[in-house]
Amino acid sequence: MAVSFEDVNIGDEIPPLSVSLEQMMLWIYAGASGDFNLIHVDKEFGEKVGLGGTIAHGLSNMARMGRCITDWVGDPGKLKQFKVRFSAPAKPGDTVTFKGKVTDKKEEDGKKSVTLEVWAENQDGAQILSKGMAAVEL
Amino acid sequence: MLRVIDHKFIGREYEPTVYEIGREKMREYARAVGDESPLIMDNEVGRASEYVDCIAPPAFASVYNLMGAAQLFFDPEVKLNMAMLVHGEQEFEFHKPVKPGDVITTKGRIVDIMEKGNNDLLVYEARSVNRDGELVTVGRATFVIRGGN
Repeated sequence: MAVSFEDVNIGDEIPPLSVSLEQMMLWIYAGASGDFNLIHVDKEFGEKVGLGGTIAHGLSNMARMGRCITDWVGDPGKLKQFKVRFSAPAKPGDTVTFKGKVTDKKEEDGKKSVTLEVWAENQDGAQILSKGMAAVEL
Repeated sequence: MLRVIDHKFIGREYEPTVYEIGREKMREYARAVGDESPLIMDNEVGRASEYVDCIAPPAFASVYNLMGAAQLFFDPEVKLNMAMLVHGEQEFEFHKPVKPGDVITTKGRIVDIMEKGNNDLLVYEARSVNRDGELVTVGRATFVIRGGN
């Protein structure tokens, strides 16, 4: 376990995760997830529908947000609840930083849980994921 | 003019989907998002853990929990305006980690339909259980139809 319940304080920020997106990463995610929607894989199509090119899969942003949380916990099996709003698209060339802050910790029925506020922003400070929440068991 | 999705579709259920978790498939997904946790990637570490085997990254639910949503997207009665549909929010409750060899059955249904400003919102809930009938994951997706359906 990378972090222990006793060492966590409300207000703590978890180590941020920065990812610089490239088109190849979107193609790889398309293959891994099975989602080949053209807005993620075809630049010309993305331009035609007014997106200015391709955009990353929203769920890939969510998955990296999850990784940021479970890397901190040290165990992907301890994420119990996870919610995000997809507020803006992330595009190849963007650097997206995933962040989280502890909002609550409690011990109930022998279960130690920590709640976090989580979000992601791009290099311009625009929120890619917002109003995110995660609950982990430590 | 605002065109709304008929609220009579709240409660509408879709055909269950069945998905078997593959060891290398879940790892391919993990690698695609840069997750190199040894509990996902290393059989020895997995076997020695409380899970007795490797586990899938939680976001792999994007694959097995949401695959049934295609039925909603192409539902000839609900007739969603797919050109204007965006995935607005996603929530997952993880009740039990999923592992290679798990056969996951997921049932999806429409649980809410709302109008918010110029947009129509539809909430799709999907409940995934394993072969023993244990609930593993609940997903709730909010789809937004910009400008109304």
